[in-house]
Amino acid sequence: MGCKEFEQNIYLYEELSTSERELLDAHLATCASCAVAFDEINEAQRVIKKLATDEIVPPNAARLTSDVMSKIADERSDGNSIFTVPFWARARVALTAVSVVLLVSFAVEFLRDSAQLRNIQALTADHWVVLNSKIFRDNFSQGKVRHSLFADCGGRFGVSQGYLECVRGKLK
Amino acid sequence: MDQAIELNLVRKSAEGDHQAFRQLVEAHQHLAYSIAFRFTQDENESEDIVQEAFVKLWKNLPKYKVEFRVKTWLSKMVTNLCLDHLKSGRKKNLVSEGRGKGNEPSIDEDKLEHEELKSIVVRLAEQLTEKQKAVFVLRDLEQLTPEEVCQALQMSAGNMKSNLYYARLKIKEGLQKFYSVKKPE
Repeated sequence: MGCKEFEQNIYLYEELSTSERELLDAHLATCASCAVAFDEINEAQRVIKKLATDEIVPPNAARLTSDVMSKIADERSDGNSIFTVPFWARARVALTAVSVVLLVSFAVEFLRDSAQLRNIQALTADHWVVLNSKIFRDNFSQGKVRHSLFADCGGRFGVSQGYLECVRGKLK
Repeated sequence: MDQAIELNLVRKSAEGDHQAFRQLVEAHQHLAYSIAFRFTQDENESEDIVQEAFVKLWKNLPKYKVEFRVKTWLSKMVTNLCLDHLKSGRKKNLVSEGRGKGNEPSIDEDKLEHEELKSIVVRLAEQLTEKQKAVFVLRDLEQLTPEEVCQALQMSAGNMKSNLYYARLKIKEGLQKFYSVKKPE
């Protein structure tokens, strides 16, 4: 293996496996330029390790803890609200509810129509006669009413201008 | 914190026990703050990130996987929040001094040099890519194990090593420039 293959491992000595370290150690023992690069990175790492020992602490740990705990408490109370449910979930529930209502009303209408249809199908010829007679009587009686309504317009045997005006007046 | 005790606290917290969660917060907030501060270099933003991370942790406790330590899980959440924070451009101009035991002003020459070095490394770290910076902060500054870094950043060992190599290379070159400029003075 040449220097190129060891270049990356020189920077990762602590992360290497035992066998990788042995290979690198053997190379460093015979390669002056890689040994220099190894010393340089070791020096840089020594500086960084020194910085790593600096303990960085929150200015007020007790306040930070209580701030975190209050946020957690807020989360809990917010968690009981319907508004914590995502909008899409609420929309889905609403659409489902509307669909169910529509389905129920369609079903009721369908049952009602089919009941009426069954009633009509169950009618006998006698019933049809009675029904037709009723329609005839209704129309006839309406005709009578209309006839008697215009009785005082005169002109029973001919349509005069006066008769038409009288009818128009009553229709208004 | 012992793993069995931690697991017990996680279970209790997942059932809604605030006191158990408080113990987890007290045990891990220093690490969370330290990571956040190394990314943001700002006290208030670091505290906001720590609070957000713990709220996230609280919400996700029912999904807790036993093979993850809380430390690793929290490091992951804090790092992701920090990267989001950096992406969002809320980052303030560097470099103000951080608050920490090693940050008190001092007339000691060694300490001054230490502070100067710290400032240089922070600036150099700013030039890294997000992944390189995340790996550098967790591995070299927070001293997490390579396995913990991989878990926290959901990276393969090879990817982690590659990012760490470039991060160390850039930091080393930056430090060399700094020293080569400084030496003639």
